[in-house]
Amino acid sequence: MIAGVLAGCASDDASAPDGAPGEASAVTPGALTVEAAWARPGGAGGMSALYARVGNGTTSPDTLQAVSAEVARTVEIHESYENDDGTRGMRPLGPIPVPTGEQIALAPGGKHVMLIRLRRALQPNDSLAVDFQFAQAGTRSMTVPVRLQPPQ
Amino acid sequence: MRKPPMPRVLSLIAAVLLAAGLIGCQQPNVVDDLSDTSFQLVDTDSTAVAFPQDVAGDIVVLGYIYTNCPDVCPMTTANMKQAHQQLGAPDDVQFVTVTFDPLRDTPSVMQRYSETWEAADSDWMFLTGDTSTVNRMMRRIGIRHQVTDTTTTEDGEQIFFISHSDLVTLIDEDGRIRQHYSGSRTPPEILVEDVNKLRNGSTIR
Repeated sequence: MIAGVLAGCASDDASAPDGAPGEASAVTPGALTVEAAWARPGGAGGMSALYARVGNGTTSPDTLQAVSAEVARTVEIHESYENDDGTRGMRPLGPIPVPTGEQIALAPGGKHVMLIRLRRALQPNDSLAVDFQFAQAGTRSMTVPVRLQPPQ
Repeated sequence: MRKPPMPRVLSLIAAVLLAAGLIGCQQPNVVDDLSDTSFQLVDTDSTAVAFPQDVAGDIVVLGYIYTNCPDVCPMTTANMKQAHQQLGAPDDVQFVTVTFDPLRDTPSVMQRYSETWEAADSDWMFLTGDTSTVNRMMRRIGIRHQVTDTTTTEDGEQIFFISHSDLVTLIDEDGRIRQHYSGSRTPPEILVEDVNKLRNGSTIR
């Protein structure tokens, strides 16, 4: 199961992020991992969001500096937040620290990667190529599925 | 001769129960009655839709989104879609998604959104309208929406993001709002359960 919840995703911890609540699996010793990545569908010219679990099992603190994806004209790291009046918004967020021994959830309702101005439509069961760029671990490239619902 | 005290006690109890709404004709808990108003909106094919008149007689599950919102709004639409599936795309329940960002969310954009959610072939309505009508509707229902954040793309395009109420609304067959729910956080099963309560004429909560 996915959807690890971490410290720092404060505003949305009141409810589990979209999808099944799950146990945060332990980090993999000696490795920086990007797991369970998936993206929302989106229309051509529109938006999508990309989610994943980033775990740092190495002895060096790392930072997710940026994410790139050919399918989008612009890719940014964002976070959704909740205002005091209960309304919810979204803002750009800088690089995300990934401390040693911790797992960072990019999950619905919290931190996520924005795919802005899609060059083509992303439909369920499509896939897209994504590069996660880390300060220490370098670039992790992967193919990410498009889903209507989070992976269970 | 004095009357036995018991009937008076009983009538007192009855009065208290009546006042508490526990017996007699119990009125449903209505948040707002929209049947006295009409919002002229348009569907994805630009067909005019008078809301809620044109869906009167159906239970309505109403969600609010803007399509440039890729995180929270899809959580709401995903919950609605699961409720829609669990109810079996029923004839007596009308699902409606309306944008509070009508300048960007034109009927064709809403059409793409419905296709993205694989809902274009169902009778789920994806509505937009002119700004003043949409704003009037959102104000009436209590949906707040305000531009709070922007980002500039590598192409120099400025994109704005909206802070907005995170709600889904259940409306009965008579156009009365019966309950608001968190749009992104309410399990679809709760929506389904309350739709079934409305169908049975039982109270919600």
